[in-house]
Amino acid sequence: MPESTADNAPRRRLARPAALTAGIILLGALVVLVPYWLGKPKAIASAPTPRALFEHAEFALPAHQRACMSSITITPTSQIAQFGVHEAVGSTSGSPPIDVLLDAPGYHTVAHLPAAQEGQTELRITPPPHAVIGTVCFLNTGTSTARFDGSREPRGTARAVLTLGGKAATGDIALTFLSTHQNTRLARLGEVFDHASNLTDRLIPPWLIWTLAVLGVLVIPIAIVLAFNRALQEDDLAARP
Amino acid sequence: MATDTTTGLGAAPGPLARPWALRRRLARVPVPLALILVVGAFLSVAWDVVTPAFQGPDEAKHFAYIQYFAETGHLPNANGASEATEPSLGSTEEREALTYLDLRPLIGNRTERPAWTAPDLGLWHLLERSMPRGSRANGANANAIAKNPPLYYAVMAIPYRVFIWLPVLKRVFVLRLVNSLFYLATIVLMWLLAGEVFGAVRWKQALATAVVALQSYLSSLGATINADNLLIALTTGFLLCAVRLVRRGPSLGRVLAPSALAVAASLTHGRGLVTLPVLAVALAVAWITHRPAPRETLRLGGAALATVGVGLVAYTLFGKSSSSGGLYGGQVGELNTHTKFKVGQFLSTVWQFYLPKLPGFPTRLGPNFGYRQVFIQGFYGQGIFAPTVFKALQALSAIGLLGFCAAVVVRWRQLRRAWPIVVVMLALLVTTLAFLHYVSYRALLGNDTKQLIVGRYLLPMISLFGLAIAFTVGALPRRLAPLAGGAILAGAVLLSITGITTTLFRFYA
Repeated sequence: MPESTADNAPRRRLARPAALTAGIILLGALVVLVPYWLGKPKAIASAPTPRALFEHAEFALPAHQRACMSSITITPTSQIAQFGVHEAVGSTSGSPPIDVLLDAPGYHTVAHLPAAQEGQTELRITPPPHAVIGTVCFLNTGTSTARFDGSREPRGTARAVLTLGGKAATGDIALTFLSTHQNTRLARLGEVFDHASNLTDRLIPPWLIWTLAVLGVLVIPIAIVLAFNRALQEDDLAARP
Repeated sequence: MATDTTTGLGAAPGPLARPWALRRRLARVPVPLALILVVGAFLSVAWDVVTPAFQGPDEAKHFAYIQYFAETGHLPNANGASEATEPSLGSTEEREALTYLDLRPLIGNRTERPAWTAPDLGLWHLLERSMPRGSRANGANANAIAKNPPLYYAVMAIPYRVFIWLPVLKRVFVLRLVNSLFYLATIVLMWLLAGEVFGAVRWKQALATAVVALQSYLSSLGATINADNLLIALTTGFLLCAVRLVRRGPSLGRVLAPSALAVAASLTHGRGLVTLPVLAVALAVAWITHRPAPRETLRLGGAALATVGVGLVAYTLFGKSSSSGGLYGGQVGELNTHTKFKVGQFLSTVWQFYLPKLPGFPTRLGPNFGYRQVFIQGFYGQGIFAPTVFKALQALSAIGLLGFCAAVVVRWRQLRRAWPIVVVMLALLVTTLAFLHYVSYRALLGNDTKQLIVGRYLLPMISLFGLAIAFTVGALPRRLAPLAGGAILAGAVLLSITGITTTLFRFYA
């Protein structure tokens, strides 16, 4: 049937770019996006007080003194407290032992950090059963001064309020809570969408973010392939006598 | 109603147009453009969701400007604003949101996360409800970006007033959606411009437009509160009108349109001033190619001058009445006041921005900052992609640039025939780059250690990017060109989805 072959030839020719575009998108998704989605990065439960962006600051805590930060968010996945601690200037024995006390309405836990730490430290803690806003205190139980990493940058100051030895201090000791569960990014999507929804003041509820995400992943590539294919078809039609 | 073969849009309705003409006209929107706009709308909402409030470039300052203007009717002042005082500026409402939701320390700090839990939101609601009256309107008069002219902020004050009843986080989200209208307008203008340049070759038009729509930094910026969004749309519209002027010949409408858009761009941002010399070039080219009668020349030239003059005088008067300092915060007056300006050092600094230092060249001023940081990392999306992605983009951009040069050689005759359009486009490119380098050099002379050129500043020329890609691909053999176009679009789709995904996890995981 020569007539239908002639009709189908331009259609096949036009379908090639669309097929190639779709193919590259699928291949790229398999090579780039799928490994990313299946990656298991360290999961941050909350980061109540930031590390310095430009100027690193240190907060000295003498022996038997405590440094407290209020308005700290602790979540059920806050299983590790991460902070930077150093020995006193001139000391060679490492940091003194530190007790980390976490308090919120209906929640209290203490974790003990042994002496001789240096730099970024991760300490296991018992998380609350549900997210709470409370206080974190670092109690220096040793005999020498401990130094904590933090920030005094005005633009980097979080909502937490710091006291050192009972006196108000400017800046924050940098503190991050991590989760011990290393799930894939894909598995964490529900939690991540929930966080995103909260930052829109729930204007976009999580179910709508899910809907938009699923639709977006489908619509964006399909619409681009269709748009390009349609443009090629229009050119082909315009070129026909 | 006839369809314009270059734009694909319906021709202008006559005086007897019925009320349903708009609906009919919308129905005539070309399918490829409609589909690309759907993609643009999805990208806008996605970027709005994945980017927490105030995390766009200088977004807190832009919001503060809009809020101060919308609440008080006055323009802010650049005096007294600095990095140190910045946290104390802005209204109580904005400052508390930045502090209580940990949004200020989040700016630029990849180790930080916002306060994202339900108790955090509950605490914020308690605080928000307890704020005294006037907490929106009590922002400080000082604002570092008060040197920006007021057009964008005046436009954005309208949706701000309309949605003033919304709590601040929701208001910011909605204002960002309004900003994305500028991004969508840029897509439509890009379509029209590509139609003007490529004639009725629809696939090149679709390729140029889709590449622009999928440019990750453009779409992400479009979903934040930033004067650049309006500037980009106005500059794209200006280029479209300038191309129409030189292609179709001068008429009152074709002269007034680019003149008004150049004025609007200049009243949106100091960088919009680059459209004024380009306007002069377009008018000169139109005169050379179409030779209107002397009387007509005077009439049209007068119309252009009057439009530009009225716009700038209006702003000067507005600036004085609001005591916002000199024009553009005094920047224009300062452009030529530096006595230390050395031509050799300036040229050497520009050379070393792109290429390694040659023997005998004076040492460049400022940090070791060059095309890679601006044209690659900054242009494709600073902070959005991993270093490996930027390396790949750099290699692909180099291939694209070589391909473009080859296409220029192959299509030289065609380009020569279209020289009026080429001259206008080159004028925009050269004027923008020269302006950015000059201003940056001046800042470095003033002992400012920061580079003033960032990738965002290239986005008003995004239409040239789209046109260059479509032109280069169009120069390939006929069988290969659509395949190459499809491959480029596939890469752009992947980049867009990757950018949104990594941003989502950068802020919320």
